[in-house]
This record gives sequence, C-alpha cells and structure tokens, in this order.
Amino acid sequence: MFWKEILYRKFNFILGLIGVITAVMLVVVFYTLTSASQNETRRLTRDMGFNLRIVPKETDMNTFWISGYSNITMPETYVNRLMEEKSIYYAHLTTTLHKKITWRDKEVVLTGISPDELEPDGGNKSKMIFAITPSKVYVGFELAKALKIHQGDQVEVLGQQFEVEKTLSETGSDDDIRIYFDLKTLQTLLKMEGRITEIMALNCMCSTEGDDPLGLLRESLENILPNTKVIMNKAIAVSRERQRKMMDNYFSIVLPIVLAICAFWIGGMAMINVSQRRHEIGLLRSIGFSTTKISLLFFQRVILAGIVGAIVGFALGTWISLGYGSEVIKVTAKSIKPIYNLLYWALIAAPLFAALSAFIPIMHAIGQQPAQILKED
Amino acid sequence: MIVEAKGLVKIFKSGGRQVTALDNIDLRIDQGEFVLIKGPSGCGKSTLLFSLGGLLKPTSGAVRILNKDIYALSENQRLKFRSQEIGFVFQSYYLVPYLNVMENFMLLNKVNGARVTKDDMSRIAKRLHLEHRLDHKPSEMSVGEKQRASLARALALKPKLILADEPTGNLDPENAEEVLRYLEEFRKDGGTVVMVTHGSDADKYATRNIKVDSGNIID
Repeated sequence: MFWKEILYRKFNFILGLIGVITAVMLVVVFYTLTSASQNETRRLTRDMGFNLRIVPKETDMNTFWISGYSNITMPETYVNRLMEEKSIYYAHLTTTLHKKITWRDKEVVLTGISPDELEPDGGNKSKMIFAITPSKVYVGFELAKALKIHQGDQVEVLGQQFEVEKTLSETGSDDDIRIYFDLKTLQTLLKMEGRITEIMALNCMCSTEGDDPLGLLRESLENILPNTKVIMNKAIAVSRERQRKMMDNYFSIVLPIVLAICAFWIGGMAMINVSQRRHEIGLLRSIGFSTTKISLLFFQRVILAGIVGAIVGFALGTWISLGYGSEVIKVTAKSIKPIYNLLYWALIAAPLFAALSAFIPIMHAIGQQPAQILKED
Repeated sequence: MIVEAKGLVKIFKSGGRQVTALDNIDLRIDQGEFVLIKGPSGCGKSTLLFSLGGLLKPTSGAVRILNKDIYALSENQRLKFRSQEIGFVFQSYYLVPYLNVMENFMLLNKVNGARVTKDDMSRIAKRLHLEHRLDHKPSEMSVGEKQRASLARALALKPKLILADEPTGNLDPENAEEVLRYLEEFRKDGGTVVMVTHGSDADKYATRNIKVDSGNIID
C-alpha cells in the first residue's frame, strides 16, 4: 500500500524529497567547507609557526626580538598548569629551551624540543614538531651548508658526540642556524635540568567571546601562569578568527533561513498529499483504521523521503563541496574532504526534520471527523 | 431491535453560530428492515446516518447497536465494533485509487480482528459480477462497477447492518437497480439496511420510510 501510494503520487513524493535533499545538501556543503576552511587555516598557521609564545615574565623584549628567544628560563612544569586549565583551548603545546653559543667559530642557537607534543585530551592531530632521538641532532640549513655537515656525520657539541640525523631544508629564518636537540639532552648538556625558555602553543584561544582575544588570553594566563608573559602572532590569529567568524555567520544566518524554507516546502508537499487523500482517510476511518495507523501511513512516507534525502543530499553536498568548494571559499581543493560522519547524522536528522515539517498537516488531516469528509460529496 | 437512538442531538458550530443538525431524535430499527431516510438537502439525513454508524459523535443522546451503546465504547473498541458489525456504502464509492479491487478488499485485514480471505472476496465479487475486475484499479472501472465493488467491501465482513448514504446517487437507473437488488438480497439473508436517499427508486424495497426535516423525524 505504502509503495503503491508513492508510485501513484510520485510527483508529490519527488517534490517533497527535493526539499529534504536541498536541506541535507546545504548542511553538508556548509559543514564540509567550514571544516575545510578551518583545516586550511590551521595548516597555514602551523606552517607559519606557533601563534602563541609564552616566555618568563622578566624577559627583556628587546633582547628577545634581537636574539629570537628569551635568555631567562622557567620551570618545565608550567606547561602542566596550562594543560589543566579548561577555559583555554589549544591544538598543540610544546616546550623549548634555547641557548646561543659560539660553535666552530660561528654563532649558533642550540634548541631543545620536547619530544612529547601535548594535545588536549582525546586529541588526534598530526604532529608539527619532529621528535629527536637523545643521541642525535638536526642541523639547520645555513649551518650545515657553511660547515659542510652531512647526514650521518658525527659532531661534538659542548664536549659530547652526536650523530647528525638530518640536515634541514632552508626556511629563510633563524631556524637555519640552529642545532636541534631532544629537550632533556640539551637540559643536561647545559646543566639546566627541568628548565625551559618558552612554551609554544598553536591555535591557542580563550573559550570566551570577545573582540580582543589576546587581551582575554593574557588575562586568563595571568591567573594560571603569573610569572610569564604572552606574545601572539596577532596577524595570523586575527585572520584566522575572522575567517572562523565569517563561516559562523553563514551558518547562523543563511542556514536557518534555508532550512526554514525547506521545512515549509516539505510541510506544503505533505499538506497537498493529505488533502489529495482526504477521502482515503475518511474511508479508512469508516472501515476501522485507527488514527495512529493512518498517521503511520503518512509518517512512514515522509520518513522514507528523509532517509533517501539524507543519502542523496549527502552525496550531492559532498560532490558539490569537492567540485566547487575551493572556488567558493578560496581554500585548496586538497583541504576539502568528505566528512562521512555527516552521513550518519543526516540519516538521523533528515527523517526527523521531514517528520517534524509534515507533522502539522498530517495531524490536522487525521484529526478531522470522518463523517465530515465523507459527507462532502 | 438492531438500532436504537435516544434523544439524539447534534449541534455544529459554524462561524460563531450554532446549527442544530439533529434535534432530539428517537429511533428504533429492527433486524430485517430496509429503512429509507428521506428529506430535503441539508435536513440532517446524512448526519443521522453517520451518527447511527458511530462515525459522528452526537452532542447528546445515545445510540445502541446490537444492545451496545457505541459512544460509550472507547475509540478503539468502537472502531473494532464498527468494522465487524456495520458496513458502509457511500455515494462516491471511496475506493483507494492506487489499489486494485482485490487489494481494496484486503485493506479490511489491516483492521484489528478482521479476517477476509481472497476466496471469500472472489465469491462475493462473483455474486456482484465483479470477478473479471478484481485486478483492475478503480480508474479502469465503470461507475456501476465501482459502486458494486464498494458494496462488496461493505459485505466482506458479514456485517449485520449496512448504512448506505445515497448509494445510487451517481448511478444510471439500470446500475442503481442492480445495487438496490443486492441490498435487498442482503436484507433477505437476515441483514438490516438503512439508506439515505433523495429519489424514489428504492421505495419498492423499503419496509419503512423515515422523513427528516430540520433535524427532526416528521413521519
């Protein structure tokens, strides 16, 4: 009966289905593109470096900017306090120790990097910093070139032998004159156990809304790490924030309007369907069908439209995002990936959305007195 | 006695005013009767028929069918009782357009407690000269055939009472006569027929005529 009715009134069913497909497709497109935009910004930010640097409070900023690091140290345990604070969001945290020395007649920066890149609980993100084996070092591009150091060479630093695991490619920054160590190894080498000069955080932000994220962040960190100061690469952070807000605006304004139109459309199609089937409702009531049984006939129809609409809408939305998304939001096509979780959500939400949209017309029709309907002719 | 209505009042509210469709009607119908309800348009004939059939709850008063106060039953009990004891025939047939005739009959099986077999229905269809139309959709049938199919559906569960609302209203005299003959056969087999009509073509089968005007039985 169910399938035969759909086939008999296929045009109405298809029009209702289009409403569901449109709603699901738009949500999928918005979600996929927003997610791609965020991933793209995160990648760009990551490639440009950490966007937040936390250094000891007494750091002289003139010296800091000239040398590129703080010459004052702080306890390594500070990073744990930051991790325990739930009001501050971050994607990656890492601790470093820097020391400038003269090595083979050249000024070089020894940099120790914690092998454990800290992430919020449950985080599963790609590592942005290499983990260095304790007995090995990485040598910056300029240094390796000038001193003719190659991968596999043995070098002596502060009286200890290390194998060069890698010579790094050119970065065009002071990273090119660094020798990278495992943090613990450098701490021991410099006799600075448990000390660091900097905590670096990527995508660090307060969960509070506001126009001055840096101000808020500083205020929050003041309480958690009172003996530190915060430097933020504001340009990156602000542009990232703007992009996020722009996508949020799309979500908060455009999407509800479109969803409301789709809901009215689905409701309208359901209204047409129930009005075409008024006599059928009257007849079924007269031969003993309960209102529950009759309403199920109508609801299973819209729920089917919801399920089919979820699958087709997801496929179409993903196809549009992959095909045209990069032109719309100016991100690389590689950043746009299908989000398969959306299909599961669509399979739950779309039938519910369709049923809610059709609820009023269906209940109105079912609630009518059968005698009223059957007397009409 | 198969039907008894006592103090039946039905008031409709329309645009802020009240319309009394049934005004304190008392009625008794015995088993084996063929009762015609007649009267001008809008006098309350169909309202009386639907109220007697449990399809339209009266504003006040009671309807007893086979000694059961049908409006004292719960909605589900009334649905079940109606499907087992009462058959309806309407002027407009009301066959489900996307189902063939047999599928229309089989719809009855979706009602709680109802059980009709294809063999039963084939027998009834043969009696009503519909055996060649069982796999046809209503749109492929003549109006006479549609009405006979509607009558077959009403007879399927062997009801004790058939309520017919102008069943010959859309039919030519020949088809009308055929439908009336089947209703008369049902009555002769022990059933009871209550039929609303404008015309006089059923008069020869009627055991009683009831005239309704302005919500009252006047004769």
